[in-house]
Amino acid sequence: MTTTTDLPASPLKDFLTGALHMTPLNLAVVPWAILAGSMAVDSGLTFAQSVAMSAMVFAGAAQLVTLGLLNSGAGVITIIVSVFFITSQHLLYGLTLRPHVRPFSPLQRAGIGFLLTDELFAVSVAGRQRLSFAYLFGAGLSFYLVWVLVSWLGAMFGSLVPNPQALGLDFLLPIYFLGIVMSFRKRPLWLPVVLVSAVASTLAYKLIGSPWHVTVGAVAGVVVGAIFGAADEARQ
Amino acid sequence: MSVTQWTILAAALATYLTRIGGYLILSRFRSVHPRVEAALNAVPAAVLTTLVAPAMLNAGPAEWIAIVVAGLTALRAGLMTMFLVGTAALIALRQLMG
Repeated sequence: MTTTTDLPASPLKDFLTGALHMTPLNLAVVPWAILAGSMAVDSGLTFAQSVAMSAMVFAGAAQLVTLGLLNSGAGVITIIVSVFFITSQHLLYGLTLRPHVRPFSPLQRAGIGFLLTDELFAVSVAGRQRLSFAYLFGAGLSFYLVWVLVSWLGAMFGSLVPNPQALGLDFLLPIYFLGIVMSFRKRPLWLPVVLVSAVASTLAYKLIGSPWHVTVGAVAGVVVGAIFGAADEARQ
Repeated sequence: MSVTQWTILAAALATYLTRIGGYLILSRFRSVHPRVEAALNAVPAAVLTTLVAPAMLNAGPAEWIAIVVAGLTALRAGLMTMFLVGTAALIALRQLMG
């Protein structure tokens, strides 16, 4: 599954490598896409609206929260603000990936921006490949197509599929994300950042609820990095 | 347009704003402060940890053992091996314990 080094680098090869590296995540997200599609129909959206939501919002947590708020009669402003904060981890991803994205054209940046997800970020920071536009586009586009197509299936046949948890597929994303976290273990401050993020996100999950725990936990870990990382550098 | 259509459009815009916002904020600055740099270096481990840790709360012994097996495999093997070993352990343990 590693990249072939005997072929010259080409955009097509990068594109395919990106899609290949995304394969485990494309499989792991299937139950969540089914859930997004079937929940939308269950919440009273038409079939077309349900598929359009996955195609346009393209963020599972934001879609489920939007459906919940829509059903509770919340206004559009409330929904915008909630969705913005729920998906605010993307701001951190964009900041982190900025050095790689800077050489891209504005149109390429806008496109990769649209395709940016937890999963694309995870593949990007795994460090398996130089982050060319074609690589990111291949990884991001394959994930997008899986998300929209499986949401479409979920909206159509969702009621026929048993609870994703019963299929045992719901736990594959945490396993994959743990693998990436472990691959960072030689980095400075790895253990304190991971421990603080783990504790903060678990507490936030208990006290505030999902999906806010992502931003709360991430910010806690980043603060540890900011405080102790800069101190380390000053000492050298 | 109906309320539902407006809502979908609004949610899409809010999400896109977060996706593109990170590039836009820092592109206004020529150099990045070392403390900001250190904070950004912590982002990948911090964010990805938040996608793992709380999932343990809703899980049971089968998931806990599978994640430990996956974590130990990661010390020795690459990402893909680790993912396959973790997945196999999860499926086997759920069969045994479920």
